[in-house]
Amino acid sequence: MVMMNGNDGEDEGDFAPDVAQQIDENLRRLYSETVSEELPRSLTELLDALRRQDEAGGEQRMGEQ
Amino acid sequence: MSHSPPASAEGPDTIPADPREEIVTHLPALRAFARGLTGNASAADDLVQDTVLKAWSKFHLFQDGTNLRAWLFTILRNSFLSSRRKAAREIADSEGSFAGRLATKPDHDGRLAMQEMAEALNQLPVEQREALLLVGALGFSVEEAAETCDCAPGTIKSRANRGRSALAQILGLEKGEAPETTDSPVAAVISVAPGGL
Repeated sequence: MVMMNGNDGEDEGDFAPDVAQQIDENLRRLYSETVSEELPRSLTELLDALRRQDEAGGEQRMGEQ
Repeated sequence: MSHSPPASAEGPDTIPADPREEIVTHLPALRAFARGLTGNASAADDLVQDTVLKAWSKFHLFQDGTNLRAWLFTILRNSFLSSRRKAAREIADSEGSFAGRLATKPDHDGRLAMQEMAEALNQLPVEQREALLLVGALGFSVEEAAETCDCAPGTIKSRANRGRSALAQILGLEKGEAPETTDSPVAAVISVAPGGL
């Protein structure tokens, strides 16, 4: 795998433009499914907890004033 | 980026009163980026949760008027690289999990190609993978990807091109040679996948 060395040399990719376009298109297809998924419950619950925590903190600060 | 509250708080396109709520709008793309980096759906969601916690608690460090998306993606990237360094031995275990999840879904044209692509992407160095994910998969400009990865735009271009070259090599696309012409880009990958030759 000559191309998998991770260096940052000036390799502009001497393959056909069609190949590059098709690779990008397939990458978009591969992750479009994830992008369009509903957020998992664990994440929405975390957001709810953070919001509640802020509300509780805000009320506490209001009480201290 | 302005965080001034809208005149009306109703409607999906209005800016939320709490500017941190804007983080939520970037979560789908963050999950996709995390999944591409980790190659594992469960690890990806853990990474996104960690990112949300950090972003929410450190939001005062975000400079109003700068790019929130790049800021969030940078947090996720740094978290990934940090955990990767700490637990390098566990990384190999993740390979194929995302592809395996895809493969359990009903077969149709393109599913095999997607699995091949996911597996090929997992073989790339992380620098190439993240460049391809941001620019190729998620539509970042080269400049925004460079900001996210804290490098020069030319470096992103180079890494993305190296990544494309490596993917072409792994998937059997010869340099300077376009794949068989088909109507579907997915079918094009199938046509050069090991099982399709």
